[in-house]
Amino acid sequence: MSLLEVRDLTMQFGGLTAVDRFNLNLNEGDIVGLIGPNGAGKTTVFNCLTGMYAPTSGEILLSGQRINGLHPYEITRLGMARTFQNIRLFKQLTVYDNIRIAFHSQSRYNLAAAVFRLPQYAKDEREILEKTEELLEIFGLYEHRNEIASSLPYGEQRQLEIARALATNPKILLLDEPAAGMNPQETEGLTNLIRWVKERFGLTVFLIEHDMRLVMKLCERIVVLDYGITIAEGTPEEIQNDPQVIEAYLGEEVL
Amino acid sequence: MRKESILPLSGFSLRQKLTWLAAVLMGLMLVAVNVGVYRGTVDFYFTGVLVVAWINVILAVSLNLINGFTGQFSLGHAGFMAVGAYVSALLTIHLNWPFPVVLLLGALVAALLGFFIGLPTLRLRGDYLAIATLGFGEIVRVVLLNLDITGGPRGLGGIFPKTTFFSAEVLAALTIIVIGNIIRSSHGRAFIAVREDEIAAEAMGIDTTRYKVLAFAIGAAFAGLAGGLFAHHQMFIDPRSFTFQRSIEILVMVVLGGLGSITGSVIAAFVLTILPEALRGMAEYRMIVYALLLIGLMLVRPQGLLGTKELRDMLGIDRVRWLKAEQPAAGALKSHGGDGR
Ligand SMILES: Nc1ncnc2c1ncn2[C@@H]1O[C@H](COP(=O)(O)OP(=O)(O)OP(=O)(O)O)[C@@H](O)[C@H]1O
Ligand SMILES: [Mg+2]
Repeated sequence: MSLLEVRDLTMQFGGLTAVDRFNLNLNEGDIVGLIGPNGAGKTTVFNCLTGMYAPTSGEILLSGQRINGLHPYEITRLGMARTFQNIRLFKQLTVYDNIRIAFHSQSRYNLAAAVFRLPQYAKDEREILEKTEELLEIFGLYEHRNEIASSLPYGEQRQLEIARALATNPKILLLDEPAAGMNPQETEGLTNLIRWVKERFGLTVFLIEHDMRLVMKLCERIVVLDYGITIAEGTPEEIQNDPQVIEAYLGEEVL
Repeated sequence: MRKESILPLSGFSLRQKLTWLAAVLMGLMLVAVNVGVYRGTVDFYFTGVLVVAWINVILAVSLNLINGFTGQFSLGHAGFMAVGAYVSALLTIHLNWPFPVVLLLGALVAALLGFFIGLPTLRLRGDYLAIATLGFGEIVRVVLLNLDITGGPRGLGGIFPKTTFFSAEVLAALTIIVIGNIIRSSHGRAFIAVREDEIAAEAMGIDTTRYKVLAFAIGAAFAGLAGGLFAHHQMFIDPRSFTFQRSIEILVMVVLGGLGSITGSVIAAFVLTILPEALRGMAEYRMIVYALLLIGLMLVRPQGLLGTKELRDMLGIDRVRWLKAEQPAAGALKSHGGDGR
């Protein structure tokens, strides 16, 4: 059984079919890329998978469980976390609090335990604190822990968003253009980081990216969308030589 | 293991030292007032003002949970207060139940109402939510105006004066502790996450609907408690005590103190309760001076007196470090500079 199975996912906005019968199988440990020209429907696929949009039709199965119609927070708790194309950090909060918030569903104590400061509260909070520090250290953000998230340089904001997603303890990590706005060195660093984090946390990664070097280096398999339709799927080599893909990207020198 | 002294003043900035000084002065004033009231040297009238100040503390801190921490614009606090006031007053008048019991029941009924108001209004945001909650407050008032049991426009009289300075003070302290403890927990961070970015909060596994309703229910419970204290202080209530004007007054306290600062709400509630009394000598100019002070403050500090800071942050008490220090075999102590809130 695959970890994530998407069957004929379709999303329409009025007359516009943003995603048309999209299919996907992610197995544990996979790292798959989703590419396509602007407006192809990539982010819409992510929004459907994470419950932000209710798909017009189709089925999404996470570990065999149907997740269409669930709230985003339920899907996160079932083990699918994401980052956003336009960074959505808690901008006014510290780096530290951004991560701590994401540990929310892993603290087990209830309101009464918080009000009366019961032992469970101290235990969980201490655990959250340790895990937060661990993540901050992994991502090299520890020195910045008391800074306001929006004051971080762009590249570090992107990293913080990935760290925050990891704090929800996901099985599947969805990354929406993680390298957007990064320079080549930063992209290189990010490529290594994603690979390392994937091994370290035993993740399955599904990522959208316009930076072809990152996609080609990182992904074992690539899906190409154009006008909502899947026009190709295969290994990086197959995709690079696919005439339909080249046509979709015609005029863009990325391939 | 090394325990640091509680007052390592050497490591503090000038600003923190001044905050310490202010905190100590406020503490001394509090002690003096308590001793004065206890000995009966504070006159009856001013004791009454202080009781109202504590009631306003409860109202402002609880509204801050909804408006400041959770970011939901509610204008219905007077409505919840009214429910608590009438429920507790009726129980006292007709059944003469013990004071703590009627206060608790008033708070519970208000909480229940907060829960049901929270549900449908969740789809609304910002201005729309403000208007809906304003409408709720008005509905409560009109209902009270037209029911027989509430005495209609004549109101309810003859409520035993059970609220004392000390009961109001203890319950205000309780409110501060309860809401403060909630805020400094995973649940509190969920409220703040809802305020900061609802979509991101959901993506982090937070049930935003649940936390919005919860904020309304908890906020309403404490507003109901304040209403009960108010009824048993005034000995007489009528719908005019719970108009839209009243909700605005509480909102002003919250905004002035700082949306998202409990300390700010407490200070603002006291200042704004006592200031109009202090200005009484100016007679008709009183409200103008009051308004000018508010406008001035908002121009100088649009984020309110304290922004989102709390006294304990400003005193430089490193809470995260304390949490760590309890842990045996913790390696080198690392400083984390407060809770970030
Ligand atoms: N909420 C929405 N309402 C209406 N149309 C939408 C909505 N979200 C997306 N669309 C439309 O769906 C199409 C696909 O958008 P989407 O954001 O998924 O593209 P994308 O592949 O992520 O593009 P990009 O590379 O620019 O991020 C676009 O035409 C977009 O205008
Ligand atoms: Mg996109």
